[in-house]
Amino acid sequence: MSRPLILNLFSFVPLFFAIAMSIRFKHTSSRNKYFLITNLLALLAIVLSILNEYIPLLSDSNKIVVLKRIYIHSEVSLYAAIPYFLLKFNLHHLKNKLYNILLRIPLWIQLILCVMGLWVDLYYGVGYAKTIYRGPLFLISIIIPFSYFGLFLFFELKKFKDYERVNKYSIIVICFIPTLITSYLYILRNIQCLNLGVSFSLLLYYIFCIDMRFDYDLQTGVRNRNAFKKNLIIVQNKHSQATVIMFDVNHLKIANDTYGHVSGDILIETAAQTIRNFFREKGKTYRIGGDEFCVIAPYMTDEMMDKLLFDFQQNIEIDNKGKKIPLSLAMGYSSCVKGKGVDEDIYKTLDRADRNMYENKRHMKASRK
Amino acid sequence: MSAFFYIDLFAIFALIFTFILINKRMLLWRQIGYFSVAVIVILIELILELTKEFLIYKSAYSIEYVYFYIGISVGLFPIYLYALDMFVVNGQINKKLKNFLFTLVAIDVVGSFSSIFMAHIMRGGNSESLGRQMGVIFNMGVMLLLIALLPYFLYKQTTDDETLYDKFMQIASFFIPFGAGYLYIIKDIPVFWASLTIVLIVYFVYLLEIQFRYDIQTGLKNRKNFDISLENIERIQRKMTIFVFDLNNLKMINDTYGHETGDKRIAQIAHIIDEVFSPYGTSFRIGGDEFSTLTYFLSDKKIHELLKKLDDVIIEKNKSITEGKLILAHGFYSSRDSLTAHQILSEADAVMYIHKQYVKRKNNLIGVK
Repeated sequence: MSRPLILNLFSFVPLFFAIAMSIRFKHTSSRNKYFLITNLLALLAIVLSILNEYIPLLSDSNKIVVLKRIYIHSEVSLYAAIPYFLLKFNLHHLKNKLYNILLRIPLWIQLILCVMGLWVDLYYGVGYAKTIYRGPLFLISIIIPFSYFGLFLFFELKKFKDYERVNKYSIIVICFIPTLITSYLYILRNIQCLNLGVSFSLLLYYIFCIDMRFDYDLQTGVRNRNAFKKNLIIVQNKHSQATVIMFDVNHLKIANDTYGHVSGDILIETAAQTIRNFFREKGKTYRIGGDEFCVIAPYMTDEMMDKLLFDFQQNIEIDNKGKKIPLSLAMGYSSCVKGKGVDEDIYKTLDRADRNMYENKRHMKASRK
Repeated sequence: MSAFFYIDLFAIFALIFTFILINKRMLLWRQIGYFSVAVIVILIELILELTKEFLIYKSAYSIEYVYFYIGISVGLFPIYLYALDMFVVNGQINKKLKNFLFTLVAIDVVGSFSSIFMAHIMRGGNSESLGRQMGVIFNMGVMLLLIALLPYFLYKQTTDDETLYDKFMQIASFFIPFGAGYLYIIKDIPVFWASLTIVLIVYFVYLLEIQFRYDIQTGLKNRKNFDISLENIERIQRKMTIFVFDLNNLKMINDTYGHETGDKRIAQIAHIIDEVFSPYGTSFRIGGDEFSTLTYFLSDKKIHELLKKLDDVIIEKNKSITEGKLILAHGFYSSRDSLTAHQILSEADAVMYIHKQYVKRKNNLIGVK
C-alpha cells in the first residue's frame, strides 16, 4: 500500500465518526443539515483521492490524462464547497437574500472555472508525464476557499465575544490547526494530506458544538440557567452596565390542566421563540425556571425600554391571532447603573426586575377581573 | 517527512483539545482523573513516536533511542489500559482485584522502564535469554488481562437507556485499535496511537451525549428522557404505575430564602425520591419543581407502603432543615385497559392535585403560591 493511500484511509476514521454522530441530529435543527453536508463532501473528497491512486494503473495514457484532469478539478471545487457549507452552518439565521447571493458568487466562480479547466489549463494542467502541474490561475483556487474559511472563523470567534471564558478562542484555534497546517503544506510544498487535516478538524469541531450545547436548554433552544449564572458572574466582575428583563408565562397552569401537558410545553416553546426572536439583536435570552425567562441586554434608558416592551406586547398580540391558547407574558425590567459613586449589584437589579414583573402580573390579573 | 508524522501530529492536537474540554466539564459524576491519565499517556506515546519519525527523517535514528522508545512505550501502555479500566468501572470494583491489577501494572512498568538501561530484562539484548522471554510473556499477559477486562467492565456498566446507536459506537470504536494493531504487526504501519486517540475522543463524546439525557442539577433523568421512556412503554404495552411529585412551596422558598436555597431543596428532594423508588423504577425531573417515577405495575398495597416510606423520609429530613422545609405533594395511577401513557399521566396529575390541596390545608399554605 502506498503512503498517500494509507493517509486517505486513515482520514476516513475521524470523519466516519463525525458523520455517524451528527446524522442523528439532522432533524433537530435545519442548521445541522449544513454540517452533515460538509462532512459528506469531505468524505467524497477522500473517496476521490483514493480513486486517484488507482488511475495510473490504466493502460490507455489518453484516458489517464482525462481522468486526472477530472479528478483534480472536482477536488478543487469540493474544497471550495466544504468551507462554504461550514460558513452556512454558522450563518444559518442570515435571512437577507442579497448577502446570501453575494456569498454564493465565489463558489460559482470556482465551479465555472473548474468546468472550463477541463479543456483549458487554468488552475491545473496535466503534463505528458501524467503529473499534475499548477496553472496560471492557481492562486485564485486557493483564495476562494480561504476567504470562506476566514469568514467562518471570523463569525465563529465573534459569537464568543464577551461570552464565557477566554479559552474558547484557543479551543477554536486548536480545532482548525490541522486544516491550516495541511493547507500550508499543500500551497507551499505541494504535499497532499489536506483530507487528513480536514477530517480531524471536522471531528473536533463537532465535539466543540456538542460542548456548546451544555449552555442551552434542550426543550426551547434558548440558553439555560447554567449559562445565566455564568453570565451574571461576568457582568458582576466586569462592573458593566446592564438591563435585565424578566418574563413569566401566564396561564400555564390552566393550559396544562385543561389541554394537557403537551400544550403546556408548546406554550413554553412559543414563549421562548417569541422572546428570542424579538430580542435577538438586543441581548441574550435565558430560561431560568420552568416558565420564567430572562433577557440580559446592554444598558438601555427607561424610555427606550418602555417603547421596546410596548412593541413587544404588540408583537405578541399579532402572533396570538387565531391561536387556541393565546400567549400571555408578564414582564418587568430594571437597569444596573454605574458611575458617579453608584456601583450597583447585578443581583439586586435582578430582584428589582423580578418585583416589577410580579407587579405587572398582579396588574394583569386585576384588569382581567 | 513521512505521512505518519502528520497523523501523529494531528492526533496530538486532537488530544490537547480533548484534554482542555474534559477539565471543563464533569462527566456523569465519574472519576475524571483516570481519563486524564489515559489521555496523557497517549499524548506521551504520540510524542515519542513523533520523535522517532523525525529521527528517521534526519537519519539519526540510533539504537539507544530504539531501547528508550520501546522501553517507555511498552511500559506506558499498561498504565493507559489500567486507567481506562478504572474509569469505565467507576469505583464499583472489588478492592482486592483493584490492588492486584495495580501491583501487576506497577511491576510491568518498573520492568519495562528499567529495560532502557538493562536491555536484558524485557526487550532487546539476547533474545535467547530466559529473563527476556519471561519479561515479554509477563508484559503481554498483563496487557491482555487488562484488555479483556475492558469489555467486561463496559458490559457491567451498561444502563437500561442505551440505544442501538450507543452500542454501535462502542463496538465500532472497539475495533479500531485492533485494526491498527494488525496493520502495525503485519505491515509495519504505525497508526496505533493515533487510532487510540480517536477511540478516546469518541468515548468522550459518547459520555458527553449521555449526559444530555440527565438533568445536570439533580442527576435524575430529564424531561426529554421521560418522553422517550413513556413512548417506549406505550409501544411495548407494558403495564405500569406512574408517580408524580410536586415540591409545593418552591416558589415561596425561592422568594423568601433566595434561589440558592431553592436549588438545594430541589437537589434534596430529588435525592430522596430516587432513594425510595430506585429499586422499583426510574425517576425523572419533568419540570422545575415536578418529578415523576415510572415503575412496573405495583399493587395498591405496595404503592401506599412506598408513599408512606417517602413521607417518613421527608419528615426525617425536615428535622434537620431550619428554613424552607420540604413539602411534597404526590399522586399516582396504574395502567388500566385502553388508557394511553399520557392519559395515565393526566390521571396521576389529577390525583396529585387532590393531594396537593390536602397538603396545603395541612400546612396552612392556602393562598401561598
